[in-house]
Amino acid sequence: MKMLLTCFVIFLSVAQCFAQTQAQVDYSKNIVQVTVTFQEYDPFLPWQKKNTGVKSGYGVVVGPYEIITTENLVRNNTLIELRKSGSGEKIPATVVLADEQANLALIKISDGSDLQGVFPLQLSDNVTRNGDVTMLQFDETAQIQHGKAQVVQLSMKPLPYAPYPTLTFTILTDLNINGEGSAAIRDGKLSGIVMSYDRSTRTGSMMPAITIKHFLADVMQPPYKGFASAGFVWTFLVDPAKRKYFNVNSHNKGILVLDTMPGSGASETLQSNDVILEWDGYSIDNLGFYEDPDFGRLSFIYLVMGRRSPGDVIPAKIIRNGKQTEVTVKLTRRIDRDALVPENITHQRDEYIVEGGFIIRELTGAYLSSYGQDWRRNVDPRIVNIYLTKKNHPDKNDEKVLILAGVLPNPINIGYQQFRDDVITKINGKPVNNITDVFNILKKDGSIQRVTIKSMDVDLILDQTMLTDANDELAGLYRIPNLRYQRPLSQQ
Amino acid sequence: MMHRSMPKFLFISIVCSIIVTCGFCQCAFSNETSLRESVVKIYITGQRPDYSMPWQSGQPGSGSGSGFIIEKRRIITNAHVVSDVRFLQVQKDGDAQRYPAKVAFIGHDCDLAVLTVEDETFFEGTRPIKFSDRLPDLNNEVTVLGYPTGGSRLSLTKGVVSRIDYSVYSHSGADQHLVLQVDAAINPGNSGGPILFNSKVVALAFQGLMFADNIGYGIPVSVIKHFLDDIADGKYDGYPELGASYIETTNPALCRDLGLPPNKTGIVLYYLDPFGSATGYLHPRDVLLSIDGYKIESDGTVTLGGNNVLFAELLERKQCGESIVFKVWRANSEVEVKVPLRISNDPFAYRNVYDKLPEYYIFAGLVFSPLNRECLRAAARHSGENNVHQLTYFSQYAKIDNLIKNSDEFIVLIKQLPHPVNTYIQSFLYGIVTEVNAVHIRNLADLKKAMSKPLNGFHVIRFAGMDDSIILDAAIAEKSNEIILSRYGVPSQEFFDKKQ
Repeated sequence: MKMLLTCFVIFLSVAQCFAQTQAQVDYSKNIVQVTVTFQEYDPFLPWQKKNTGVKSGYGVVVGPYEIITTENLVRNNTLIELRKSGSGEKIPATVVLADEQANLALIKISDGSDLQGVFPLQLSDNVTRNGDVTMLQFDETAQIQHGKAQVVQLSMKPLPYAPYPTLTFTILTDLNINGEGSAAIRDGKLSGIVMSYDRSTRTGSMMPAITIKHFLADVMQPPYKGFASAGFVWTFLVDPAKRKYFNVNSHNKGILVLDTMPGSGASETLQSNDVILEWDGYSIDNLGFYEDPDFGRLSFIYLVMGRRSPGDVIPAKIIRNGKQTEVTVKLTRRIDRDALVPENITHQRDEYIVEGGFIIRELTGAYLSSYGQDWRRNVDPRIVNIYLTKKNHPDKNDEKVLILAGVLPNPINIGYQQFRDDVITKINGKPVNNITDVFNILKKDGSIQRVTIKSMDVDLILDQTMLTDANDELAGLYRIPNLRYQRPLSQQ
Repeated sequence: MMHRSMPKFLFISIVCSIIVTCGFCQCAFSNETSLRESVVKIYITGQRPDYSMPWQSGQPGSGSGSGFIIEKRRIITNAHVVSDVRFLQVQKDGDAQRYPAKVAFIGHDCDLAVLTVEDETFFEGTRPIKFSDRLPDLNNEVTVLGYPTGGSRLSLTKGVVSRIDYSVYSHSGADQHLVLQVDAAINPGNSGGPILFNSKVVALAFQGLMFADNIGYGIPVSVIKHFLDDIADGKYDGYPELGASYIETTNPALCRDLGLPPNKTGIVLYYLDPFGSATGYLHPRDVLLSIDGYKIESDGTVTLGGNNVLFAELLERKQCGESIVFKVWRANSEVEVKVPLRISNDPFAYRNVYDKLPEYYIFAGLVFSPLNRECLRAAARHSGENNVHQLTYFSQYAKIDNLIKNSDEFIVLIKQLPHPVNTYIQSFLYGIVTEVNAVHIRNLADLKKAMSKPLNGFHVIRFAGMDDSIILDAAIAEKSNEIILSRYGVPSQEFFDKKQ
C-alpha cells in the first residue's frame, strides 16, 4: 500500500506536466464511467441484505491506477466496474478509501487488471465564485460529451446525502448530468466533480478540486485523518435582545454556542452560551460568516473543515459570562459512533441479537429513515423524539438506545408479539447501555432470560427450557444464518 | 404494541354487552308512526373557538339534527348536534312553530345530550318514547326515524342489525364504547334520531362510516341508560377510568415469573395511571384474577351471558362513586381489592374539546396556551418541525414516561404576533415551555407570574428539548404589549377559565 502511494505521488507530478501538453479539447482519456452494483443491509432484518441495485457515475483519473469519485456512488458496493470512453470493456476496481463525511472515494483498478491509455487530470486551485466551466460525461455509446455550465455560488452546504457540511459550488447547466462524479473543467484542469443534479431546476452541486486535493494529500500520508469538525452546535446571534443579554457590544460580530459534542475537543474548552467573536484569527459575523482571503465571504465552518485538519489547535476569542477571553479549541474528526443515535448513513452492517424471536439492536438514523419519507410521523414518537432532541447527548460514554425492534412470532414469545420499537433498559435484570453490554451479559449468562422495557414494571420472560429449540426453529423458519452479529473489535 | 396503545386504553371504557334475556315485551302497544310527533328536528347555530387565535371564535355555522322526546319532558340527542351552541330551536313534524331549547346535560365522552324546552306547550300531544330494556339481536329489523338531508320532513328508513361491536366515538375521538351497526341508511341530519325495534328505542343514530355503503352506527340503549342514570343526580360525571395498563399472561414463562399458580388466570398490570381510579389500590405486577366475581381469562376476557368480552366492559356499567371488586394475585397470594371509581379529571388526556373557551396568555406578541387536541392538530400541519414531533411524544407518553412530574399541564408557544420585539423567535414555535426567568413552569398561571419578574432586565424563556432560549428585553417587551394587542385586534391579553 505504501509503495503504491509513493509511485502514485511521483506519477501525479509527472502526469501534471504531461497533462498540460495534452490537447485541451480531448478529455476522453481523463474520465471513466463507474458502474456500481450495490447492496444494503436490511435494517429490519439485519441478518440479510436487500435486493441489489446498480448506479452509474463517473470518476476522474488521478493516478496510473487511481480514480477519484464520490463516496455516495460507491457506497455499499459489491462490484465496481470502470469503462473508458469509446470502449465496451469493463474493468473491475476496488475502493482504496472512502470518506462519507467528505463524500469522496479513491478507487483503484483491481490487481491483475489494467486501464491503459488513460491520463491523470490536473486539479485546479481556482475557486472563483462565478464563470463558466466545461462539463464532461459519456453519452449512451460511451462517447465523451461536453457541455457548458455556469458557476453561480460558492458556499458551505450540507452534503446531498449526509448531514455534513462541505464547500460547494452551485452550477447551472443545460447538459442533463447523467451521473455523480462527472467532471467540470476550467482552464484545462479539474475544477470539481458533480455531487448532485436536479433536472427540473437544472442546478447541480459540485465539490471543488481544492477539497479533493486536501483528501488526496491526506490519503497519501496514512493514517488517514479525515476532515475536522468544530465539535459544537451554534446559532446566529442577530437578535438585539440576545446580543445585549450576552453582553456582545462589537457590531455584527459573534455567534452563540448552544452545545458541545461529547468526545470533541470543543467539549473540553467551550461551553454553551459562549459567544465566539474570532476564530483562527478571523472575525466571525453574527450569521457565522468570515471573509476568506481567497474565496470571499464564507461560513466559518470552512475554516474548520477546509483550512485545518483534525489535531490542529485553534485560538478563539470569545465572550463568556459577559467577559471577553481567549480559548483554544482542539479540532477533532466527528465520529458517528460517539452519538447517542449514530446516523450510520453508510449502512454499515448493524449488530443484532435474535433471541427467542426478539430482534434486539441499537437505534440509528438509518434505521429510522428506512421507515420511508414519513418516518417522523409513522415511527413510535418516543424514539423519534430521542433522535430529534437527544441524538448527540449520551448521558454516559458509549450510551446508545437499545431497542426491541420487533418480535418474530414463535410459541416461546406468545403474549409479547405486539412489541415493536420499544426501548430496552435491562437484560436479565442488569442495566444495559448498548448492545455490547448485551453481548457481555450473554457471554456470562449464556442466554437472555428477561427483557425490561422502559416504563414497564413487568419484564418479558423467555422460557429457558424452550429457548434452544425455539432459536433453532426461528433460524430455520425465518432463514437467519446467524442469530447474533457482533462487529469484530477491529471495526469498532 | 401494548403500551403504545395504552394511552388509548386509558380513556377507553367499554360498554358491556350483556344480553339480558327478557321473556317477552310487556310494553303497551304503539306503532312506529304514532311516534312521529315525538321525533323532533333540532336547529342549531354553533360556533367553535378559533384555537389559532384563542381570543376569538370562528365563523358561526348552522345545522340541523334529530332528537326524540323521553320521560320528564326532555329531549335526547347527540352531543355533537348541540356542541358549542349559540342558538338552539326544536320543532315537531307537522308543526310550523320552532321552540327555543336549552342544553341541560351533555356528555361528550358518550356523544349524548339532554335538552329542555321552556315552553310547556311544545310537549302537548307528544308521548315519551320508551327504551327497550335489551339490545336487539343480529338480523332484527329496525326502523330509523329522523330528519336527514334530502328534505325537510320526517324520514323513515328500515334495515337490520348487522353487528354489535366496540368502536371509537368520533365526537371525543378518544373514547370507545359499544355501537350498534345497522344497514338502514343513516345520513347527516339523522344524528340524534331513534333506532326502533318493536316500537322501542334500541339505539340513537349517531355516526356513519366514510367510504363504505350501508353502514350506519347507533349508540345502544345500554350507553344511553348509563348517561341518563349518571345525570339523575343533576350533574354529568362521565365514565370512570380504571387507568391500569396490562399485558396478557398468555406466556407460561411470564406466569411462572409472577408466581401465578397454573390453575389461575388473569392479566398483569405494568403501569398505573396517576389520574385513574385504580392508582393506590392496584399496583404494577398485580395479576387481576377476577372482576366483580367474573373470572378473567389470560387474554383479558370474561364470560358474560355466554359471550367472551373484554373485562373492561364490566366497568362500563359502573357510575362514578360506585366500586368494583378485583381478586388480585399479589406477592404470591390472593387478595381482594375494592377500587372506588372516581371522576376522571385528567389534563393529559387529549380528547376533542367542546363548550370551553381556550385559555391563553399573550406576552410580547408570544401566544402561550395549554396543550390540547386542537393545538396538536394545528401543529400536525407543520410536520417538518422538530418541536411538532416533540408535542406528539409529550401527548402520547406524558404519563407513562412521567413527563408530567413537573407539570399540571403543558404550556405551548402556539403563535407569534409579529413585532420587532419578537422577530427572532420562529424556531421556538410549538415548543413546550419549561422555565421562565429561572422559575419552573407548571401551568399557565405560573407563566404569567414569572413574566412579571424579569431577571436583570431580561426575560429568559426555556423550552423542553432545546438548547437555545428566547430572550426578550424586558423594558421593550413591556412597552410592546399594548401596541401588539391593539394592532392585532386582541381584546384581552389573557383568558383563564375560572371554572377549571
